[in-house]
Amino acid sequence: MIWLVGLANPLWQAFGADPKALRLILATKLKMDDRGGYVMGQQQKPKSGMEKLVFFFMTLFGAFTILFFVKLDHHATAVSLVFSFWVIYIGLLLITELSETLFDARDLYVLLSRPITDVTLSLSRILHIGVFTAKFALCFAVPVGIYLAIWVGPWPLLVFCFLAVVTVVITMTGTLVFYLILLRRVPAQKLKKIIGYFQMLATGLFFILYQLPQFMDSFEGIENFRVSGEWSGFLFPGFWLGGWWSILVEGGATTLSWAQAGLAIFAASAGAWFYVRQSSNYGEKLLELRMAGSGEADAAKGQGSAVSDENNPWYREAISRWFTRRGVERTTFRFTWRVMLRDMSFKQKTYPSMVFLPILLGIIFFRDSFGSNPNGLVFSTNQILMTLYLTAIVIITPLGQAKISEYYRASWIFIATANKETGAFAYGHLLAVLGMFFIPTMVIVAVLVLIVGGLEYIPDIILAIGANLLFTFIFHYLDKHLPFSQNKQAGGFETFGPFLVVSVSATILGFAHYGLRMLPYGLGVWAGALILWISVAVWANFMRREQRIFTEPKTTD
Amino acid sequence: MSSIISIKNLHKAFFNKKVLHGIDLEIAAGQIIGYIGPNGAGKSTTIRILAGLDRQFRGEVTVMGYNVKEEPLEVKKRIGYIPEAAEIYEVLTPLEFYELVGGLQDLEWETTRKRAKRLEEYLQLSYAKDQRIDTFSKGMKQKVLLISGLLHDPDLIFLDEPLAGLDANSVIRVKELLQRLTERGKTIFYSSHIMEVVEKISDRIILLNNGKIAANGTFEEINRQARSGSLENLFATLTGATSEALGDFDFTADE
Repeated sequence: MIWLVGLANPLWQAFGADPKALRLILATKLKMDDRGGYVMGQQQKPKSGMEKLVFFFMTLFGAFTILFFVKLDHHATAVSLVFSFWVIYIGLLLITELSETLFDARDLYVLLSRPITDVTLSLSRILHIGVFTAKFALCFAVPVGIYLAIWVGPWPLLVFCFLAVVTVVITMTGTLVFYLILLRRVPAQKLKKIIGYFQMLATGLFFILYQLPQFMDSFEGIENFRVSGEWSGFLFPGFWLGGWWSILVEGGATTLSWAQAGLAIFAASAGAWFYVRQSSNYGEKLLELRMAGSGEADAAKGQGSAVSDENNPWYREAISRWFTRRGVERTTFRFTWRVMLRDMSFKQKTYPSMVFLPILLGIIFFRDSFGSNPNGLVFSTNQILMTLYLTAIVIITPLGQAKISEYYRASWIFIATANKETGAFAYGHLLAVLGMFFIPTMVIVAVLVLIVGGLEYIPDIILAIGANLLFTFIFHYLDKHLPFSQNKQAGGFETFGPFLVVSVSATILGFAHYGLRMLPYGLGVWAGALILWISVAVWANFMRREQRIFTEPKTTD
Repeated sequence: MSSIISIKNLHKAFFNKKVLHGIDLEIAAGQIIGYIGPNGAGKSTTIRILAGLDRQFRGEVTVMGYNVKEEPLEVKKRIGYIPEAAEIYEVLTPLEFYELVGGLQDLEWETTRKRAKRLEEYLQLSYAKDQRIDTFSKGMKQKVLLISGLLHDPDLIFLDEPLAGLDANSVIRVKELLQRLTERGKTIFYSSHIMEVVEKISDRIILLNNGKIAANGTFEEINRQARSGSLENLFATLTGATSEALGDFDFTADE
């Protein structure tokens, strides 16, 4: 990879960069990537099988895009759609995964004190990100490349490879230029927040994107769809690439195809040029970003800046007063609630998964209900039960994430203080997550179920809530971490195991619920609900008094 | 006078690496104990053991009459502990952090709030209402930590590098605070690399080197043995880091 970068040394020099320094910085960054190291102060795990799994799924997504070629008669449009998918996916990936790398300023103290130009510094970053992006692009490209090589021919394959490079350049420079403009225009402290919310939004879009392949087969009349060479082909950068396909492979390119092809090349070159041009004072700007949040207390005090964001303390206080005892339980409850509201990494991991539930339910309800019933929208008992049980996602995800934090080393406070009934930590922690996520969601779901299914579903709702609480307790019992005490890079069975156990038990209980409905007069469901709620009450009581042994948090290196 | 800290033949190892080699120590109440030593000497390890956070050791350690291995909770109830470069949940405001720490120590909120306010005033820590700790400077964060460790008014306070990140004025304030605490009968056991401060405020200095106690006594007592003039020189002499060892060092000599 370094060798490949070295081939373009005259180009880097023309930009004003020092090729030797560029090679050294890039080689070091890639070495650090392979070994894990630190990003934004967090220890990264060395590369593992997880990366291979991600590559496998990306290759699978790449394979799905072959369907565009199969389904569409107009291959230039197929190319447009394939590369549009790339632009969206890689763009989102850059936002969710690489924002931290882009703004990572740890190396600046080392690099800026050396005779290195801004251009060298910013080029080293874009090349570093380029290597990362190229891996994913390659995963997308391989299945399509094989398809083109076997069924279409070597020339189209070559054109596809050329367009792939152009797409990667457009996506990368587009995203980076956008970020660089933000970096130059937005105050550092605000930028940190903007990036955080942007990442959250992008992760939410990812969830939606994951659902797209399953719809590919259900589009009717897609054969005649055309975007390349049409006026609509100007709407999205991915569409522009189809112009080149019309010119170089299919022939018969229209004036619009030429214009779109030209636009693609212009976007790639202009993006690269603009990125380099924007790189002056890049290091200083990054340092400002790093400094944002330290030593500004006096300034903030002068402005009387209130940074607390507790919008609904009455609700929190009500839950806290009704369900927790004073002392450790309530303290842990309030602490967990506050951190959940404010910890950006918690929000980034949790909020997008909240989008997942409505999307999933939308797909289940509307696709199945419209598709299978000629009378329009009809909901079956299966769908309603599935909805009630899928609500477990809304509690398991935040509960798991509320044990992880970038401030995990701060959990020394829990072990440095004298607390005999350590179950109170677990209880307060659990209640906060239930109060913030599960109760509001369950209220909405229950109301919807009652509207859609009628009052006859009341016992089902009661049973399902009990079952969901039971899954939650099982998950919470198996994952023995203190609140916000686990490194966010943590993984393995420690995290995945409890999730797996809950998934299996949710499926079993879901089926059992369906079985109980077979019994006459709803007796089975009522009896099931009673048993589950008694179990939940007993367990909750046990949890509060338990002398729980938590996983020792790693508070020192 | 009975010992508030008693350590007998304390051994500690991390895997195969021995950190503490049979430490024996008796400390009387109401003193400021400066615990010094080079990096990696085992200072933080000793403090963690004394605070009841590490029970994987050999030997007998009692703090305020409680065996730390068998009754760590009793020890934790009675001590204050501020680790070195400790992290805080920075998304909280100081008051929220005090609420957490006070709550975990089973303090009433009103008591926590009042004590925190007084300590903040004393340490000259001021900030905007609802301002989060992540907007604080290093020194301000250190003050928040110090305050959180004192909220429950412990009789014995363990401080690992408490002066790190503090400016000169704040160091003076903290020094005064530590002295006032001992006047109220508290015992302070702290580690620091700032020799001038250790020399001035410590009633007793314990120098740890390679996991063993190299010196133990008042500055005057230790100085009589080594005749070094200052604690800095004494430290260098006893830990073998004297300037003679460096000779006429020139790192470009072979070029």
